[in-house]
Amino acid sequence: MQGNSRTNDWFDERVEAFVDGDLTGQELLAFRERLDDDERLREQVRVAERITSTLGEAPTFTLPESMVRQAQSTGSDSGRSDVSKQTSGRGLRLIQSPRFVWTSVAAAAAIVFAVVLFPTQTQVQNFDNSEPTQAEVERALAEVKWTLALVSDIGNEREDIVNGHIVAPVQKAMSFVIVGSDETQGIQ
Amino acid sequence: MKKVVLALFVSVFMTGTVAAQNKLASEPGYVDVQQVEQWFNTEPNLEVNIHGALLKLVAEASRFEDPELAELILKLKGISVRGYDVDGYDLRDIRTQTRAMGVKLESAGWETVVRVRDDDEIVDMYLRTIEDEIAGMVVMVIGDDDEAVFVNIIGEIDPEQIGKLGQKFNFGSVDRF
Repeated sequence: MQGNSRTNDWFDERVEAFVDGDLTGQELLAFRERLDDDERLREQVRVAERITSTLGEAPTFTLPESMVRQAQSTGSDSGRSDVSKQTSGRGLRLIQSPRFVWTSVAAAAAIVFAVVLFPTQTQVQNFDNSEPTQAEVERALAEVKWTLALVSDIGNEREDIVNGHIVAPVQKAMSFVIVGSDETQGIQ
Repeated sequence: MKKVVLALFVSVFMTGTVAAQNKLASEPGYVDVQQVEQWFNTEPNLEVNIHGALLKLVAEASRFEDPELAELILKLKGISVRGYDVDGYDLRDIRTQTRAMGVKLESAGWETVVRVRDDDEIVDMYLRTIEDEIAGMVVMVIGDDDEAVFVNIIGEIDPEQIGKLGQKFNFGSVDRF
């Protein structure tokens, strides 16, 4: 029983190599003999062939240099240092081109822009360009009147300053001079 | 592609806000009243920003009731007001800031037309004149009622008309919206 299990594991481990054509010599002969008698192994081979076929139809891309370097350094850190820049047509691959990356970035930016920023832009347009409501106009009119009234009030204050601190003293001084000169003339 | 994405972002997002703001900011009578917000730790309790289409609509809304007011408003480009409750603030600091701003305005060609320094009140009014026409007005008031108000009126201003209309509104009786 235990011997059968170990045998099955041996064949299971070589399914991918068989599909990729990497088995040779005695291993290849043994695998083929086993395939004739083992329906489970034949099913595993069929699944592996479908996966390889599907992956083979997918376009292949080249990783950006920086990403390759980062992946290599990460791989070496964890003891896995063999990261290829090109696909070899087998297995699952993390392969992209610079064009694909920037197209993705552009698409993501467009989505972020549409979802997050467009409402902001709409608000700005509402404030600056679209027609305000009647209530907003009335409120704005009240604000304008209040501001003009405040400015007018301060203008009046200036008038008071001029009248109180300049005109009145000058008038008083002038009247004193005039009256004083009259009195002087009268004395003479 | 990076440049394209960046350009797309910058051009579309910033167009609305910056264009409107730049247009007003390029006016000779414009002063950024938002700079006074740095003097206070709180939001203004009074904030008015009326310009562009809204200002024109306000003018038209007042035309039937007061044609003279409508004409006055139509000559304006914008009105900005900030009001703060200064209770609890060190008024000396605010007065120093107000004075510094006044100096900056004067050095930028603004003319001081009112300057009141009482114990409890500071009033400053500045006018910007371009070719014998008033293009802007700045009013800074720190009143004895613990309130500070900063006003910038942008556009062609006729002080006599404002005085006349303002008196008609009678400041004391105009509702503080």
